[in-house]
Amino acid sequence: MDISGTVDEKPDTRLPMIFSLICGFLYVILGLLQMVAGAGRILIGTDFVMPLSGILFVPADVIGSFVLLLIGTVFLYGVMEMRSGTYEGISYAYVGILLALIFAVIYLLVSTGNMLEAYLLGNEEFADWTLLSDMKPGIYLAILPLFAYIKWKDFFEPTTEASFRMDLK
Amino acid sequence: MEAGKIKIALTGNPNVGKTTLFNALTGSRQHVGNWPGVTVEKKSGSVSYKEYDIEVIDLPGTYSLTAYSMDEIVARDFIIEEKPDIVIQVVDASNLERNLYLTTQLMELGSKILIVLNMCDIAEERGDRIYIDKMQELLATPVIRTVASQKEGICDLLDKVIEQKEVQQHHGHEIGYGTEIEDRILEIEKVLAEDETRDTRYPLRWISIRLLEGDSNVREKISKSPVYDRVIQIIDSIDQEEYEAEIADKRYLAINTVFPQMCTRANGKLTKSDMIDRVLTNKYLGIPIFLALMWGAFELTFAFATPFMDMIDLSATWFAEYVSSSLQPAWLASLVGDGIIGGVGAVLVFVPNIFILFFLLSLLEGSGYLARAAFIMDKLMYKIGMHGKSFIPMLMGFGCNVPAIMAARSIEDEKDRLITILVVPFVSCGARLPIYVLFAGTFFGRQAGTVIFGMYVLGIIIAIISAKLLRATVVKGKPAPFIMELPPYRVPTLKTSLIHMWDNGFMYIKKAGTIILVGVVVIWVLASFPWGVQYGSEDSYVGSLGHAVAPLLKPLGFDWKISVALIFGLVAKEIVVASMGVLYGAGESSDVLSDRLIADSGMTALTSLSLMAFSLLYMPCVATVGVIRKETGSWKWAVFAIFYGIIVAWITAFVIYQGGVLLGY
Ligand SMILES: Nc1nc2c(ncn2[C@@H]2O[C@H](COP(=O)(O)OP(=O)(O)OP(=O)(O)O)[C@@H](O)[C@H]2O)c(=O)[nH]1
Ligand SMILES: [Mg+2]
Repeated sequence: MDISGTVDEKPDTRLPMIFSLICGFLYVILGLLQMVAGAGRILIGTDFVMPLSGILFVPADVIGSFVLLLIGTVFLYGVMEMRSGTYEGISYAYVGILLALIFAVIYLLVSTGNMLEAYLLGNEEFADWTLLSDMKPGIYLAILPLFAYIKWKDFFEPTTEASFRMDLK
Repeated sequence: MEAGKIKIALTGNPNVGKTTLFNALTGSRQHVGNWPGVTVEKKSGSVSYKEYDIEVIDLPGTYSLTAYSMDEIVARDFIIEEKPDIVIQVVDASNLERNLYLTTQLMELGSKILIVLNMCDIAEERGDRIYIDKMQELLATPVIRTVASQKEGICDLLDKVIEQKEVQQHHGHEIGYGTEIEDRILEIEKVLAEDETRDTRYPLRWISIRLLEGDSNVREKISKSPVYDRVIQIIDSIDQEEYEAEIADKRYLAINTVFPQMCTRANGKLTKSDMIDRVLTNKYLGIPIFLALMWGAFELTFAFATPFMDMIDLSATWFAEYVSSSLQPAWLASLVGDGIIGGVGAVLVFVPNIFILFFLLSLLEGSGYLARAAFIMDKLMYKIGMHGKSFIPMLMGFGCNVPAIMAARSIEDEKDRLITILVVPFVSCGARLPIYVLFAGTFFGRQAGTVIFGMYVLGIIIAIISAKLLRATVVKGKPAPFIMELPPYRVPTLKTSLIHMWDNGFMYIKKAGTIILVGVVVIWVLASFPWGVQYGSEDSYVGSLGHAVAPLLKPLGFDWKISVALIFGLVAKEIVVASMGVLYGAGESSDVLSDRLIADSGMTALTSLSLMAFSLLYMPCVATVGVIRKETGSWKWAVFAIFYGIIVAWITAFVIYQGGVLLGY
């Protein structure tokens, strides 16, 4: 890979674009589901059960749904830019990946805290807590970005502030 | 002067790594962050090296020595008045050109200069080439290559310092400003030289140039001189703005001539930071991303800490019970059990939250995102009448308001700065966090993280509204335009973050052992006397005190015990929680504080909300009042901050409580 490659040569953005499109849609759809679940809980009450929410582990959490929608929007924004031929649109894919991972890590840490409550401290409030209780789209959706992160690791390497132009194949 | 002593000062542009270098040299732990304006006060330290005692002074970063902001005056006065043996200009190698302007000014100050080329790792990685030999020759100063963050080049630097100490003052290069200006400079120099009593620490050429550039600080300095009138006559005879521009032009010209000879840069391409910024500072996405990250941070601060808090809480409760049952006489058992362990324990419970909070804040600072946050908010802030840069002190305020208010020093405009100082106390600091965690955790369960986030947002909103109000009334005018360098993103090092977390977290623990302990004992005494009353009952002194203010606070939904807690919270906000611990700690129950609150305080989710808002806003703590006085230079503003805070807090809590009651909660 030639780091100092010429500036005019536009790398192929097809793969990042497809990736962003898929991620974007998944995050937006689950974000919407989660929002409906959360809003239903607030408006209708605790007996509101949204279809699918069991299998998809969608919690009734409005604020969390904003996070999912935001991540989805970042991906889709990038698709729009890349489609119009702007190579820099790829930045959105990178930041989308980072955000997805950051929030997955936050959720996992919170869940670790709950696990300690349940198993170590035996807190009654957490009596029926299981490993799946905290499962949510914010966590499992991040698997796709995680793969992308590993594949495009060069970009995320911490050390460099070097100008770069990467091979995206 | 003793031969073995050397005094060196570190100066340079903001965010070039001066403090990192200072820490590497002296082994101290001064605050380092990846945004311009971290250091606002000079700090000194020392190092012994090869039989020399070297005193090192870290100065605030400055782009120039033009006296636009307080930082610049601090740095400049230090260099001129304290005459360090060697002035070290720390230069960001990856951004060399922008650093040379300061060099041109330093050369005129007449001190021995040594240039430290820091952040060479970044420059080299990017493919820039800097010819150090050529640079030394062109600037007529020694240049040392360092990577301060990895402690590279520290010994070379010290060796050079010792070597330079011995050499005679050589004449560095100076910039010529063209015949017309040079004639004026000479003319002023001549007049100034006639004054026998003048302060010889100031080089005449430098004073003359500064006067021609219209420096009011320098003008004031010579205002006592007998030749002042004649000097002013010369200055008034010229077109000052034109001179100022011309002088700056000449400096840039000099830089543009030497720069290409000492450095070749790799092709300017889009950097990773540029790419990330494209998204994070996006017109539409910037603010939502910022809010989402903040929300995530508070979610984490609350939820991840809970098990650790519970562990501390359980052991404190167990310990208090053990002490109460084994200590004799009964009053001692009550003092230690109900008072000290109950009160101080109630504060120590929140140590995990505080640690996480400071860890996250240091990520915010170290990554470079802080500067972006200011950038994103600038537009909004400007509309409100605040300067974008004010957002940095506001975010810093999440940790502690005191350094946040000091961080406002990097704001050039005096009015912008004053407004920032006055509104920062509304930003919720670490000391207030325990209050939220206690009450939100008790009354809001799983929603606690969101409620806490809401309190932080409320603080910011009130700060912003206050700024608008101040702009419209006491501090009229428009904010200055926003100019700020966005530092490159960096992955913060775990070590720096852990140190930051530990230092600040430890301060919290120390506070619990000192001022809060005293507060707790005072409350306990007041709760136990007059002799014979039931502990903490309405007949005790606390009871009377509480009842005295309770009518004022009743419309907000608070009873007399809460009133007492709020009174003592004036000293330090942690005491609000501590006194809850003391006052609700009585009795045999082995429950943790939150359960006792539900059981006997008669509080509801609504009153807790009103209480959280009130505690957030109701007056800066004593330390903050002190720093407001110091930074504004007058008691007037400190007193203003107190009363303004109380009024705002009362109104806000009133609206929350009465609104809630109206809505049927
Ligand atoms: N890569 C790299 N980073 C560095 C180096 N030196 C400092 N840094 C980083 O640069 C940032 C700024 O460092 P500081 O030491 O706070 O800078 P400062 O000059 O004291 O800044 P102000 O006090 O704001 O004027 C921090 O994030 C440091 O970790 C270096 O040699 N290489
Ligand atoms: Mg510093």
